Amino acid sequence: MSLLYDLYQPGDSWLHRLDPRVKVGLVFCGCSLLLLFRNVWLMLGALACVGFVLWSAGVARERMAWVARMTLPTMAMIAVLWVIFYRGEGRVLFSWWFLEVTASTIAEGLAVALRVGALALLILAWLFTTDQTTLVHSLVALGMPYEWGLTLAMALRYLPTMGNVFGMISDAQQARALDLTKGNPLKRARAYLPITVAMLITALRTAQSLSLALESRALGARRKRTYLHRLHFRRADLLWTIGIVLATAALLWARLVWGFGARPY
Amino acid sequence: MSTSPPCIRVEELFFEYAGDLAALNGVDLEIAENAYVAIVGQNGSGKTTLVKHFIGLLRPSSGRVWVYGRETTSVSVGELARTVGYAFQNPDHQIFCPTTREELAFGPRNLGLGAREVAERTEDALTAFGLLPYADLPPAVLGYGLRRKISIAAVYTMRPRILILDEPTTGLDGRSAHELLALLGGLYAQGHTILLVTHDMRLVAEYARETLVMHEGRVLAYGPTRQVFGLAEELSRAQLIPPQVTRLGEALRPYLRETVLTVPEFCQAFVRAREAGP
Amino acid sequence: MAAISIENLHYAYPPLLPGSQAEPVLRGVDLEVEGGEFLSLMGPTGVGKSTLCLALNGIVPQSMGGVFRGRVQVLGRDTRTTPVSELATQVGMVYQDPESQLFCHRVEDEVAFGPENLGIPRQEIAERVEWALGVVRMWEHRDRSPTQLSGGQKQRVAIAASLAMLPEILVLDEPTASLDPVGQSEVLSVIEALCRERRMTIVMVSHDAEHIARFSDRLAVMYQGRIARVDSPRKVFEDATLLSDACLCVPQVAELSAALNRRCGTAYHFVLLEEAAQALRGALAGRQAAS
Repeated sequence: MSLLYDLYQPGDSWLHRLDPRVKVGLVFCGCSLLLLFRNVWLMLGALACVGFVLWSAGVARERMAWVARMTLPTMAMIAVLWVIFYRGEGRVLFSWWFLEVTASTIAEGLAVALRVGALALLILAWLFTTDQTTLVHSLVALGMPYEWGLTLAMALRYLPTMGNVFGMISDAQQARALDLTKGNPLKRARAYLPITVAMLITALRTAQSLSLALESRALGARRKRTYLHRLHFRRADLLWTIGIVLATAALLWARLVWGFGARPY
Repeated sequence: MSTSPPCIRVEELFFEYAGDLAALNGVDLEIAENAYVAIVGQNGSGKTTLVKHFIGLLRPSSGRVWVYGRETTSVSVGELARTVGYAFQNPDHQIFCPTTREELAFGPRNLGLGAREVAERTEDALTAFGLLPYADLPPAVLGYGLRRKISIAAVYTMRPRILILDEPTTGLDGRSAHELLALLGGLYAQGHTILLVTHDMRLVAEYARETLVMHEGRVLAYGPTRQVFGLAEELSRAQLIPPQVTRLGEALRPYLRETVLTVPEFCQAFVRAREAGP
Repeated sequence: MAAISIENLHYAYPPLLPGSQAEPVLRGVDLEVEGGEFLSLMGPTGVGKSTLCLALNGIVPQSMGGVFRGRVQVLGRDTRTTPVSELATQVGMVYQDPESQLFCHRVEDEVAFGPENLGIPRQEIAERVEWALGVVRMWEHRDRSPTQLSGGQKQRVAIAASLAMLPEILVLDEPTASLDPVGQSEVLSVIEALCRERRMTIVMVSHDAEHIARFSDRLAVMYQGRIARVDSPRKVFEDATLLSDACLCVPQVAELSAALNRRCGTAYHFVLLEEAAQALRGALAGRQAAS
């Protein structure tokens, strides 16, 4: 559970050192391309590619296992549901009741499932190798208003704190004999009300104290804000940027003009 | 000392938080019924971890804990809540109801008591804690001192035989702190067992009958308050500072022989020493 | 000219429910604080100490609204008209709860936050961060996340974050209330050094009479929305009626002086442990020598 609060894994790989703005571009282009292509072999290749990126970035094995645990069940479910509910063209391979399985639906289902996996891995590759301060800084450098970036950074920073508070409130209410285990799902959901309300009140109080602290440190004093840490754009980052732009352009051309990768298999 | 069996018994208790953070390193303990124990120690010494075992919020990593003869692992938290009341350090972690009255009724309702019994206990708690003027106001908007009282009253309505309070006087001014402890003294006189986790050594000296010193997950000292406050070495190891009068008594050591806990005691001792001569 | 000058300050927060009456919190506060002074503020819970602190950096009334009458001047500037962000460079504020005033991922970023908002050049920010963390002795922890620190360490970082704005006045609202004894002494020694060595003006709200007696130049007691008395701690702790009205605790040795004076007809006025020990030891030794 704690992994969800702080995805960043410190390291010194090429992906860690890549300028965070270039990483944002890479993720944006990668996700766009993944959404455009439909071919199952290409998706498999993309997934393998992103997996390789994660491996070369030195992401720990426990993390990869966690990712697999999170994504594989979803991917399997997507593939199966797609096959059940979509009817494709071409020869029917298998028929039972309302089910009509063709080669194209299988390929499409697999392609969609693999795409979801590749998207997840790409975004996780970004989050595993960028710490939260740098991440927000890069978004602001790319044009996001500072206040939005600060809000995002504070939300990420307070996730583990609020997680702890949830645990403490849950303990406190259970100590008043609140039963969270009995009854049907609806009743159990209602049992969480004392915890939810107390959490909301605590969150509001924290927000108010935070706003006082922010004002006391001159938030909004100047239009132009300076930053202690500078983002460095190196030659390697320039080369990467050029490479990403060229590859994206080429793939877009292939897809839109030649129809490359449009068919499931 | 009473001859009845202890209400809380702890045997070789070890506890580790996830991530190998050893919080309790072997605690053996027996707390008698109708005891008034102050549990003191630095943050991280294991005070809160220990008391959380008494209400079953934590299960031992190894070792056993009995409350009134029942092992805590064999009973649910809800069951233990009938006997052990726990008022948390932050009252805002408990408060959620639209009126004070409902807040106090929450616990007894969870215990499955009838409406008339719940109403009776709620009125009794409102009177005992001086909360009647606020009975129909939302507790969340009241001042901190009142919220503190309400959270303790909300535990009191469950009529637990053992009452655990985690830092009940932080943030309260002098008089409010003394008022609260006087209330607790009243409950103690009625036969409840009080466990007070606190940093305020002055209040410990004035109110607690026994003191338990925790340090690095172990019990460093446990006994009558006067005796424990005289253990200068243990107190300094646990980084605890006795109240001013006690330290003053220590500073006048050759003349004053006993450990002094309160101002009236010091006066007595001083006058006696003055009249005693060499 | 006094560093802080409060004249006939009346303030009421905006009412909770629209249309209902606003409850006045401050009802005619008059107070002057000299530059370089360490002033402590005591009073019963809910009397308005925090509100008074917020009036010193302009948050009351500029951000809070409400009904404000009277005048508050800080280093010659009126807190009603000077923007809060400008006052923030003169008055540093440290609040009670360490958890909700440290909102960055790293200690270093937290301390840099204030100067960054002011548009100060990067090199100077780095210097200020190093200086401020050095003053509170947290430089080795600059890369750590605030969530990993102890209570005392967190409050010290909060103080450093205020110091980085280079204020002349530091206002602390019960900074040690939620800390254990070790944390309390860490934080207090930093505050005391700031006053003594750097001639900062300190205004500290506290309930701990013994700390106040040891460190403050003057003690102001708030009661019923006003400053009931402001004087040296020694004189204030002797005013028994005031203290019982305002529900305050005095250092135990002060309580002891009063008790001994009643019992033995002596004229002791202790506020510190050392002076009590010396005097009483002398009394006992003298008595023994005489008999």
